[in-house]
Amino acid sequence: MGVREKNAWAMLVIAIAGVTVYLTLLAVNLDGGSPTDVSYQPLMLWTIGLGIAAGIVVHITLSIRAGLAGESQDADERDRQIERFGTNIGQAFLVIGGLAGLLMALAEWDWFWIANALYFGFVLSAILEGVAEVVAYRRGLPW
Amino acid sequence: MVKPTTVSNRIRALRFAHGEMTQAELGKQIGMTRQTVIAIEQGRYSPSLETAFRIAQVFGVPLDDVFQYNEGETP
Repeated sequence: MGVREKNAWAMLVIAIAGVTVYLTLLAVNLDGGSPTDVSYQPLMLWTIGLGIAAGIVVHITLSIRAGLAGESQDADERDRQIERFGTNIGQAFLVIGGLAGLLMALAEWDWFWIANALYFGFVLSAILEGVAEVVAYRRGLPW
Repeated sequence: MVKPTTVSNRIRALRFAHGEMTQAELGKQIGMTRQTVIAIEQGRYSPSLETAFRIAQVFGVPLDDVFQYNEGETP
């Protein structure tokens, strides 16, 4: 497995772990009350922040390991095509999340729902992008 | 309606005919990773025309000695 494929796996695992931790903490803090009463902001910001930090650390670690093993870290044409394919798949959910947030804001929904619609747009985009890239690496591109 | 097509290749045979060249060595010569060479060999990735020509050039053979277009066959 090349360093780019390992990175795709790592980003997918981090995205899933991040949203799982966020939802778990949200459920714990819910305590039978309304979701809009939960102080979700620190939970969301911490899980996003830690996810970004974990992504950077894993990327650096994989690059160092690949460098020590003498593996090429440059993307070749297949890596670039797979990356583009993943981005195209993920972008759909980014747009859906953005539109959902916009419509909720126009309808004056609680900020909790707007923030979470945008958050889940980002998360689903990252997960779908990761899944698409991993499948493309394992089974090939669909064309 | 377009029929399903597939491109097969003889890269594995050509590597062995050229001093048992490794996938990593071929990858280095054509500017690709070893994983991409494996994917091309296994038919999981169809390379660009430029890469296909580079592979043929490494083995010193015409393009259709490396890649074959099999119309109507499923991968």
